[in-house]
Amino acid sequence: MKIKNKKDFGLGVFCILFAALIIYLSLQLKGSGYDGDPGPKMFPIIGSVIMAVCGIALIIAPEKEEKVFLTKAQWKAAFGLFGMYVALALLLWLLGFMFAVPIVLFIVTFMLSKLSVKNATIKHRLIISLIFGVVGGAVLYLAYIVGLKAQMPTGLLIELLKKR
Amino acid sequence: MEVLGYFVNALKELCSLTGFIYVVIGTLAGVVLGAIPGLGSSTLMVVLLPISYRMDPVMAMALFISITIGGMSGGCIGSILLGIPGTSSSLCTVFDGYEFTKQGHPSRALSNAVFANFLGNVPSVLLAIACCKVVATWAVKLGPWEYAALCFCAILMVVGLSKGNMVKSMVGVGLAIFLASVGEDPINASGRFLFFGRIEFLDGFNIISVMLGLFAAKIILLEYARQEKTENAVDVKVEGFKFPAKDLWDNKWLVVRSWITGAVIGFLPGLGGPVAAVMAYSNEKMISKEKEKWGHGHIGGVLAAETSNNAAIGGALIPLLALGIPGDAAGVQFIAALNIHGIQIGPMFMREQPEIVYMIFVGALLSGIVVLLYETLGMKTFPALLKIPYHYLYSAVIMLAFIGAYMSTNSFYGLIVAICCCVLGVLFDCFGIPSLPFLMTFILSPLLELRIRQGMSSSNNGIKEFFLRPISCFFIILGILVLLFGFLSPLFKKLKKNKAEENA
Repeated sequence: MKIKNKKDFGLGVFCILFAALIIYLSLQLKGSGYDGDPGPKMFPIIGSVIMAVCGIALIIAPEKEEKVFLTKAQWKAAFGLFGMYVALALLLWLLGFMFAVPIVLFIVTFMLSKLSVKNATIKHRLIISLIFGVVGGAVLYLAYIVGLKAQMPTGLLIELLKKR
Repeated sequence: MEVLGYFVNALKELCSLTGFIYVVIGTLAGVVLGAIPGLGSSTLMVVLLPISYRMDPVMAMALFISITIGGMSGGCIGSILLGIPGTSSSLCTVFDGYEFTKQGHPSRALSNAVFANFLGNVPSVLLAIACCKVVATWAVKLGPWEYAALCFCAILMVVGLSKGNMVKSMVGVGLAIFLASVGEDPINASGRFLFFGRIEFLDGFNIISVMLGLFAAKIILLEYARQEKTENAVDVKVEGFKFPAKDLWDNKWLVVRSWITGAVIGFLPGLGGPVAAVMAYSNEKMISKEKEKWGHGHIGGVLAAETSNNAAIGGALIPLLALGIPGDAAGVQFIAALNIHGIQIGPMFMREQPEIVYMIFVGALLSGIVVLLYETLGMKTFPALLKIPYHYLYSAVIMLAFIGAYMSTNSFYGLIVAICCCVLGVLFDCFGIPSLPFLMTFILSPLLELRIRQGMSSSNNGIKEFFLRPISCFFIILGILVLLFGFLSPLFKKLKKNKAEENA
């Protein structure tokens, strides 16, 4: 059998497998015990059945054209920025709000400056990004910690250093 | 008299320094974000959701409605000056608006668009004020059966009427039903799908984190990956605002018809400004005596698109405030903002929280006036809005989004959910799954489940009761018909096309 649209075929298979898993997990849930109430399993099963039926439909009748979503280079760039999202979470956990925000702000600004500062040298972009990272970090610190009194992570490493 | 009292109170609050600042800043920020292609005012609203926790809920609503109005109006700036729509609602404005810029008359198109924005949104908000009370009075009489059927109908309408592959929209619906099921059971509060035994899942997936990931983080990620911003430099000189009296007089009926189209489309779930603009534009083009001029710089194209997309705002406020059913993504954000303050939106909302409802109305009217004032007096500054350095704006949005995600749960759980939803958003785009049906189902599913189960357990007829009650039965059948229409209309179109080819 020749697969007409690999993307839709893959999505269809995923939907069927995912639906099977959710149905299995839903069947483990206990009923609420109220008369006439179908219980907590009804809704997730409905969702799974919808996904399974759509999965079959996607395998049988996929879309004719398979559009290119991102090129290889674009995927690489997307992973680069996504890496910064993950890095922000990790740095917030390790170094806390005060250090993680300016560091990530600096790196992300530097990465994004490629889009809007076309004729600048790397050195120029680095300086702009560094200033923005430090000033932006300070503004966000003042806004969230001082102004809004938000409880932000202080950082695992910083806590350890403080204890020593 | 009671209504007048709420109206005056809301006006008093907005005329205070804080209220005025909220409206002015919200509106101007909306215009700026709306003007910049890619981001849109919804990103700003999502980013501000967690911060609104610290605000007075009444004032927070004034801020959000101002951003919505500002964003919808600002969308035309990018469309006319760059030829790239600032928001999807302003897509049709590009067809004729950008032609004026190419011909060297951007001010004429902008002046018409600015005034059409005002003519679209302010009367539609007045319509919402008149209709909401009537619809809400009717809605409080609804039982769980009718309310469940209404939610069911709204979800199916979003799928049936929205653009994109219907099967894929339904994949989003199925996934949203499952994801909304994670957490506490709405009837007996027992835990569902607490993966790895983690207690964090008991709260389910926070809607704010979901939206931050699905909108803000994903949009910037894909914009960066596609490097779309490099070509967007604008070098157009814009003269000041000139009241387009002749254009408006010549197209007065076009404006009225487009306004009606916008208000009606806005009322229907899942359609909103983008569909309203497309429908008004195509209708007006079809009946125009100068069809050939449309798309080459016809002022009617600008007026039709901008009047209708702004009229959709008021139309969408009716089901949102009277029934608790969002018409578009902005509606979902309003519900999320109210949920932050522990306020549940639904048929009782107008009766229980009239001060919030009237604040939204008065905020919308005031914001419409602020937009008009800014866009008429500050038209010369429009090109500057499009030159804002994206690297500052985008990196700030990313930081605000993830800090907000953390704040929404006060733990790393919210942040991780936002990152996962960013991946989900990219996968949605990659596989062509529209995100609006997913989002609408995610917000309506807990309510739908609760009402269905309440309905089934408080009647001896079980599921049959939903079909025995006329209003409930009507909405179920309507929803199914709209879904079937969505599935079958491409087939009919194909058959018609084949027949036409055979005849040819």
